[in-house]
Amino acid sequence: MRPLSLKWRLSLLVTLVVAVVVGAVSATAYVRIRRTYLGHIDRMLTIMGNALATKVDPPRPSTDLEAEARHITRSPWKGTGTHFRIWTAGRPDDLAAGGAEAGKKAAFLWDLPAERRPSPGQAVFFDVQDKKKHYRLLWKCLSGDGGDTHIVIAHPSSYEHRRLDEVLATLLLAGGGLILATAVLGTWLVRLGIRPIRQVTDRLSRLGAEDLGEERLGDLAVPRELEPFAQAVERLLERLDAALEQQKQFASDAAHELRTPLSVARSTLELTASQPRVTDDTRAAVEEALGDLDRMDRLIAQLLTLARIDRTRGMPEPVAIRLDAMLHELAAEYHALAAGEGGAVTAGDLAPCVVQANEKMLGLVFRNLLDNALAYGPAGGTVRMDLAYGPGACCTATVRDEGGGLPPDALPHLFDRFYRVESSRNRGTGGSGLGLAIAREVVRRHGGDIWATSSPETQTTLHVRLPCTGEAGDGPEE
Amino acid sequence: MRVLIVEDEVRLARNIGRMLEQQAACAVDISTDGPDGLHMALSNPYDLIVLDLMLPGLDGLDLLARLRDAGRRTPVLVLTARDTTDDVVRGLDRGGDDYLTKPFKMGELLARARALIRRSYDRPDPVLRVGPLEINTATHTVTCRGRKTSLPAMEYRLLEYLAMRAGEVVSKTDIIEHLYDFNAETFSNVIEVYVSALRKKFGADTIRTIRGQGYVLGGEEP
Repeated sequence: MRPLSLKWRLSLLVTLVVAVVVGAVSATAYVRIRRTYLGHIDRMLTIMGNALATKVDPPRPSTDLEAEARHITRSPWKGTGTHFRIWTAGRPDDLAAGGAEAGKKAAFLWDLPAERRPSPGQAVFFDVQDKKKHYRLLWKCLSGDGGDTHIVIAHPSSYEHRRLDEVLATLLLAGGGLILATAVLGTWLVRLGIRPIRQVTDRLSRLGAEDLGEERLGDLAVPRELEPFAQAVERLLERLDAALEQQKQFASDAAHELRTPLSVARSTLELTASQPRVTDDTRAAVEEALGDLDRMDRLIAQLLTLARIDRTRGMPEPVAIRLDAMLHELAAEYHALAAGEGGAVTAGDLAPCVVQANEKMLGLVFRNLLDNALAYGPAGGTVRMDLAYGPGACCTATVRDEGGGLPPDALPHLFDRFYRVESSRNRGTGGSGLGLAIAREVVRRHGGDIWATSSPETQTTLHVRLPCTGEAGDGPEE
Repeated sequence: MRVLIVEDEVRLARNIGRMLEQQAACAVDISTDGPDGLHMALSNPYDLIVLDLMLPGLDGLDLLARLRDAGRRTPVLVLTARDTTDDVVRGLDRGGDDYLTKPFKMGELLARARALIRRSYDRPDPVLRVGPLEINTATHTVTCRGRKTSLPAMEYRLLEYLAMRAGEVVSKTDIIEHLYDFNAETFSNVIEVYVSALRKKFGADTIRTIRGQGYVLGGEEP
């Protein structure tokens, strides 16, 4: 289970604390009020009990006792509501029994709970409910020669109980309301309290790779507790930015460090070849070495291109491009190249598609595909380019050569960096294994996809799908 | 023509220098660090400066800015391994005249060097035509009245320089400063020797002597 969010945890905690405090205060208040209400009755019962005790000891005739007891237990507030019973343990008849008013007897006085029975010389107070009426009872036990004498006086307390019930209801209502209010208010306050965290999070999630170093959280009103956090994040961003900067610098430095010795080697070879007394053999060897240097230079250029693409997001400077026109031009350009070796590059069916792309990078994609097709197709073969609408709001361009035989399991790996197919297609043509990797990276950044299909011995096709933003006529006229 | 190469990679500087001497008929000075390069660029009348950007002591772009601040109009060919558009733009905007990224083909460097020098003398045509003479600066061949002649290096340098400044009176000091590098041992009448050799080949009136001032190729008779 997911742990509760900080907001809920904090508000729950606050509510819990408030509930405990409110509960304790309410309970204390209730107990105090109850004691106050019943205390009055208890004091009066004590007085009555003491008065009766003086009448009982020494014993007198019961008629006399009953009248006196009735007189004593006449409550100043409740008038005739009180009942009493006086008896001696072991004797079948009561010494006296009755209410403040003659003839009224309360049956519960003969059915007293045994566990309340006081030991001799003691007195206990307790409550009894009889026919929905509440009574407060005093049970007093006097030890005497002829056995223990018990005095019980019952005073009605329904009024007090009603009042106590009201107090309880008020306390419960007020306490519950308070707790509820605390929960709601607490949640809101906690939300207010943790807003800086959310602000920082928002800011960080909107952060791009380009503005890492510039991000300052100082302008946010961050509470003191969060300051170390904000500072740590800032420092982290700075380190990240420095690392990215270093990587950028690395690409530039690598270019310099790799290209300078290449330039030196190239210039030395060219100087050698330019001397008048150089034999043809030497000149041929120098030409060969220069070709290798060219290859190295292309490889460095491709590595740099990849490094640059890797550190940018998306594609910079997209413009609307008529893809069919671009392919047409490339076909003409590459046809001139291929014609020298008896090959051909033809533009097939080119649907007039407009794509949003970085012109230079998109050109690089198709140049790489054409380079590849010319390098790996059979010598003197034809390379054909097509462009069609679909699927969906996309257009798909294909570059097909007449060389086949790519193993199906190799197809998805064609676009891996430095991947080379170990097969008849590999004619040692001096490719770097990066051209297709660059093509895929660029196509993906344009929101498209690139894949290859191959049929044994007949043809290999590379497909490029790009989001198509319009048909011809929508785009700018050329 | 006299060229300064400011490049910290000694062997590359040497190779470019030799190519320029052999293929572009230039006298070449080499400097391998920024401050020295700036000093040389300011104290000699070069026809071209080939400038690397990453230099010890003083960055190439700063050197370029200081050179332009000092009012020098010498064409500068910037040479560097940095190849992004931003780098190119920065190099040109600081006062560079052309830009070449490493590794470059020597043929291209030579062609650009020749073009920059031609432009600085306001001679867009690679073939200099002065009177009966046609001097092809790309192939270093001289045609006089339909007859092709191949000249020894120093004679060609002298003729090319005079042809670039055709019609002007060119002082001996100017000639020595533009035809010889810093380390060359020159003797006082060396220029007279080459002038007389050229006169012998193309006719006595090709190069006129203006007493006390210098030499003139072509132009109106006084």
